[in-house]
Amino acid sequence: MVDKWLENIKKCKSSTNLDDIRIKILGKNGELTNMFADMKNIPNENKKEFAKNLNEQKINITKAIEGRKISLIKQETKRKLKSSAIDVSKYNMPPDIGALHPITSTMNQIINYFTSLNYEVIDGPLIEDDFHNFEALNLPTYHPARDMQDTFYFNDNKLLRTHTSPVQIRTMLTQKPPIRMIAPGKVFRRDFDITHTPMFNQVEGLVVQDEGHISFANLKHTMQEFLINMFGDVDIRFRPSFFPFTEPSAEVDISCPFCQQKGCQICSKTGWLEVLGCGVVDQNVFEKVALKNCSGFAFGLGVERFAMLLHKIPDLRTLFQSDVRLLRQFR
Amino acid sequence: MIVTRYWLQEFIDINDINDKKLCEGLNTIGLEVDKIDKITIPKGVVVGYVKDCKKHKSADKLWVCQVDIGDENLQIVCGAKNIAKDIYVAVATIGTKLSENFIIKNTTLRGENSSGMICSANEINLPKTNDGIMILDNSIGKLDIGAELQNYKLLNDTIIDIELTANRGDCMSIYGVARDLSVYLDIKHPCFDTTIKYTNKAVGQVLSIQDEKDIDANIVLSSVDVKSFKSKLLYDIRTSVANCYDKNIYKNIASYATHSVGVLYDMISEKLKQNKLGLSAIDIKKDKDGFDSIYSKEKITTIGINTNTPDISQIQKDEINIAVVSFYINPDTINKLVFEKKIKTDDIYYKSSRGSEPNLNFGTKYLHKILHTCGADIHSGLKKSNKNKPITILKIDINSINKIIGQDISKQTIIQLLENLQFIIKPLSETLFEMTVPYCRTDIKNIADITEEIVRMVGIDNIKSIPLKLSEQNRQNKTISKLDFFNTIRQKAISAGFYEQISFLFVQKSKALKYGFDTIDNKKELSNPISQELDTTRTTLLLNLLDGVKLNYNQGLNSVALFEIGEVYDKNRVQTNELSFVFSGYKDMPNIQNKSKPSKINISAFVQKISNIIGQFELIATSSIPNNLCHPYNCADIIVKNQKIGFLSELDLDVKNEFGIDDTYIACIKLDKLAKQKIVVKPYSKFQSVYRDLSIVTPKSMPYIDISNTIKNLNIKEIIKFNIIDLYTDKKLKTNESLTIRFLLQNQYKTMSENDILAIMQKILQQLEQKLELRIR
Repeated sequence: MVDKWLENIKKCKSSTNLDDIRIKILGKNGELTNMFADMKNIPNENKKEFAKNLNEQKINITKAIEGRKISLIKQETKRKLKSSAIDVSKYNMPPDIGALHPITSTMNQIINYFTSLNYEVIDGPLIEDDFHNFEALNLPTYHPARDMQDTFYFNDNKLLRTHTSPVQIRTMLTQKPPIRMIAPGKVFRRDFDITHTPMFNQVEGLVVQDEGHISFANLKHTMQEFLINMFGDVDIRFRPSFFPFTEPSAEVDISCPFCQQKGCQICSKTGWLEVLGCGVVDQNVFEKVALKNCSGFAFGLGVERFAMLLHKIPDLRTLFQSDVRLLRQFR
Repeated sequence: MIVTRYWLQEFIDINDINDKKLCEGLNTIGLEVDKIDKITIPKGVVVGYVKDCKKHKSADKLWVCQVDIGDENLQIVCGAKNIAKDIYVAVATIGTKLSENFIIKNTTLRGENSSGMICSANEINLPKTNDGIMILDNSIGKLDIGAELQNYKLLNDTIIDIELTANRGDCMSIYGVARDLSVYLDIKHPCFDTTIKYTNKAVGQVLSIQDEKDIDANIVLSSVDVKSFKSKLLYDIRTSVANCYDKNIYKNIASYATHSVGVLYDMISEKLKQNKLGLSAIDIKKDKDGFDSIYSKEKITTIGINTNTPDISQIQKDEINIAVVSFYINPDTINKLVFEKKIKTDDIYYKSSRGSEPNLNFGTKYLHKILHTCGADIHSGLKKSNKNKPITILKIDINSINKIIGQDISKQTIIQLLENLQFIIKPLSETLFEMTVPYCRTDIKNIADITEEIVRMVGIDNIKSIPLKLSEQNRQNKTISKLDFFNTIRQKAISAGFYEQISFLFVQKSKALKYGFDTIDNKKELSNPISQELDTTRTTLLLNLLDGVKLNYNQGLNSVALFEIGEVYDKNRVQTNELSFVFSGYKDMPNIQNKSKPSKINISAFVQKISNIIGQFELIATSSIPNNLCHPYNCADIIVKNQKIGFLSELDLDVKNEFGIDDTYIACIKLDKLAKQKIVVKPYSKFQSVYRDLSIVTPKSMPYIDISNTIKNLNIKEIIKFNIIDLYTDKKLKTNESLTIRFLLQNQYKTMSENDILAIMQKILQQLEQKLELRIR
């Protein structure tokens, strides 16, 4: 009899049926419960044995029912999972977020590098006057080096700054050395063609300490460390150059990472890419801001140039067109 | 600045230095090599001699020539204007490949055989010179009939394009570059043999010069008889290579000499006034603006500002002596005056303003040699103006130089380098020296300039790099905090699906006015914009953002979300920072989830995005529409802590059509009014919170802000927040609508009972009924 019950339990396919079976066997009028009632018909010396036997059966059946219940729940869960199964390969969802502009991310990378070296970040007005933009930088009005920069002027003789150097002048006029700063921001030149836009971004840096403390060798070190940080393991070449506000001056090139210096279109087959200018600050500049007994170095770079080299962006003008086909690649 | 190998070779010996080493050297000393090219004349082009030349019987513009090329005589038909008998020419023989698609074949031109081609310069990889065929002469070497032109090395030269910096006027010539290069290569200083045979006449027998005491220029005057002058091919090719070729043969030869040695010349051939002694008289004096000028009968030239061009036709008629004026003027002097007087200048000013070669003796003799080679006769002697050139003498301590460099360069090295650069060094003490700067280096004025010379000749690569010792200091400031804050906003905007745009500071004024934006006051307006489309500084970012949307629609996109953080100006041109957004079209892509039916951006979704980016704000209908981009009704002020910080609006219908874009929303926030929130935690209850909804019927005309303020004025602490969750209208409600507001209720000190909650809701309902006459639905 017990075996038949166990078999029924085993075969049971739903929890409601299982409940019915439990009631049928163990309920108020259940078959096993009734068997307990039969006890009065059992002789006294066999009563203990009989009760023990029944209790054992009760435990077995309860266990079997509970076991089957768990098993059924498991099966049900399995069935539910299987029926809600989907082909996951259909659910490719490309990201629908936007993206940071590559000029911003490159600018941030440069700023973060220098702030981690304890440089201060300073900004200044985009609209400047002749003194802060040219004269204080050792570029007198009649100097042919002014040819190098086509300037936007306003009717009241103010101008749009052509470099972020005015910020350095303003800093030197208000801060005493030691000065350790970078000036990032927008600059403007009256030029618009395949390699020039009327507005672009620069980061310029300035370090000033007491006389004799800062040398060209220090400048070389700072530039090398910075460029290796930005571009990885590249070769670095310094070429003497000319800027009105620094002397000695240099332009710095990195070995072309695109062709490993074999020569390609990007490096005009020279194997080198010019990335920044730098130099020891000219004493005339210190005189204009009334700083005495100082030495310093300065450097400047174009952020767009760095962004284009880091990400292989082919055309400068596309950086200002908001074409999502370019911007989405920076997600 | 163009230099070539064999042109340099005339001044210094660089035979043993290959092209790679040459370029490395130039780059190392600061003369940046932009490009290097080798000219190779195609194989098969040979020296030919035109024995005979007759007009073609059936063609007006063609000539039939008999050309000797050594082992044979060729008949060649030629259409050039300058073809003639008894000249040497470049002949491209049969089979010569002049370019990818051009191989010389046997042809017939109007019935006459032509077995080859007489070439012009640019047909055989040389730069273009005259308008006809190239006529050879011995300037390129001994002319052997039949010899390959490829073997004439003076024509097959290596051309190097150097980018000079503005301070190196002394390198604006082959001689100047050679001079600098010779110091680096440690070879003999450049030299050139200027010995010639002079005529029996002396310059003093032909010309007289009168110069005022107050002139600044140095002048050397000489006289040349150009009756037999004929230009030579090599000089034409070279001026062409150097981009200073001139059809006028006198101007061309002066061009050649200037590019060669850097000295500037004026050649005067007009009838000059005769003085009492029968000599042609030239006066050098200042004109009314104060510029040194050359006068005779009248003013001929302003020295260093323009040049005199001798009239060829006049010269060929008579036997006229040309007065050659070599001059030098200090660049600072001429620059200051040009700036002051604001006069127009010619091409020659480019050179005079940077400092031309001051060695006029050498320059004049060099030009004489060239003219003599071309057949001219030179009268002996030079007339000089007695002008002392200003000298720069510096007192420099060697230790100070090394301090600037950061490395100890030996005293011997420094002195040797400077002497090689033509400085005169006189010791004043162990380390102090008196240094006299060579005249050609007007850019050297102080110790920094001297240091630069040492650094570039030693080679920057040979200078060790040394880390800086710095003083640690707190360098955090408002600027970096502001930049961090902007970056946080950027990251939130990106997460909300916006792409960052960076646009020019300029917009089109007429466009800004059309869309109702302020423009800069005329007194402060841009005076030299780069184009009509970019003729004023922007007073808003929104126009550029809409342009960005339009561009992307044109590429076929139907969903565009852009933002920009940037500087804008008010009409007084005061700068502030603006944060603006535009969202146009669909707010997501078709996908399985939305069953290919994505929805367009709507006010709810747009506001949600903006609030995710800038934090909580309230919207109040604007009392006056800020500009014409805004929908006349669906436009709101953004209020944060009772202050207006910007506006948010649906794009006006007309604007949508003008830009050709779909449903669009814009938002513009004054960033300077958006503060970074410092978070202070408010006490919150540990007890259970509960939601309760209230549906009320309100007139459509009643702004929601009245309802929310009425509820807020109750000051019920248990109302944590409330917001609209449904808006229902139908015909039965007529001019009313049904609003469902969901309240989040929570008590700080206990779990609320059902009665507590009911009491609160009753209070709210009562308030709404009393103050606003609203009923529950």
